[in-house]
Amino acid sequence: MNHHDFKTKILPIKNRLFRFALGIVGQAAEAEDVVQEVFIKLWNNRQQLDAISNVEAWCITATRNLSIDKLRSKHQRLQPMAAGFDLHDQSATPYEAVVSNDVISQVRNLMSRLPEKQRDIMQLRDIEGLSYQEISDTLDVPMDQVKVYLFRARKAVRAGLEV
Amino acid sequence: MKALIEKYFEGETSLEEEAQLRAYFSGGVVDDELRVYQPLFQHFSEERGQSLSSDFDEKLLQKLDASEAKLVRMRIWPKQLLRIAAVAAVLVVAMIFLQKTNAPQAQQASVDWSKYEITDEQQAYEETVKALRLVSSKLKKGSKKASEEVGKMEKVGKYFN
Repeated sequence: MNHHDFKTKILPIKNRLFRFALGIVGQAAEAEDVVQEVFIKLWNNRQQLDAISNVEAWCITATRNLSIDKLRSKHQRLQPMAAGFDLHDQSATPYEAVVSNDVISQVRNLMSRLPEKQRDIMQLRDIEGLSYQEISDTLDVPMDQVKVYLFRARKAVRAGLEV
Repeated sequence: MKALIEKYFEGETSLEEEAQLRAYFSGGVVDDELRVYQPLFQHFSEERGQSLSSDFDEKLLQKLDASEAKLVRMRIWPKQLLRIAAVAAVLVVAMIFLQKTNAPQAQQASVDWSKYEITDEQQAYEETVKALRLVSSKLKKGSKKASEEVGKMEKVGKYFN
């Protein structure tokens, strides 16, 4: 991969990855850092890229993992052991730690708590506006499975909203 | 609209119908019964409008160039070393020649070289061949060493590629 390939094939998905990261970390500046890190990682490993059949899927996975890492480390920074750390507190996962003050971030919170595939598929459908076929190609998931995951994701979010 | 919402949660809506839902919930009047779903579609509309800051590409390309330069520096280094080795080899050969040619000249003043001058044609030929062989062996030694070094450099270079 050269500069030209990078600009024509990878850079166009930058905003999609940004919104992916934003859905997890919740802050634009941090989401931007995540996308930048993913691209630098991709560029430095470009020799091995020919072996990766689906670069977009690779980018999405890398973005998701890095975003979760960021959220975790931020959570650890903000919650020092001394400040009422409770080993039995089941809600102390990174996702649940994101306290939502308004209803929209409540939705973000609900989505971020979905299982990985469900979240990715709901994000690609409802925010990115991709067809089932495009989602199937992007994530390497069979189309009928895409529909099942989406159905489950929406059902879970609905349940969260109706509480 | 209620039917469309149900269809949405069943996972049966088309992309167009989903756009209709977003438009409905970001518009003014929303049915009380459906208000609970408003944050969901507002969230979608809001997220769709999010994009990276305009200087993202510029900042990224700078970072890529910086990390690229680091790699290139590591890759170029053996090549520079090869050049230095080549210059050094030329200097060594030149010094050998200078030593061989300068040393007898320095003694010329005190030694009467005419006494040692070869007059016999055959002997002169043999001496010339001997001298050329000496030069040739020195040159061979130099080029052998150089090719060994090039081989080593290639091996090292592989790790940087």
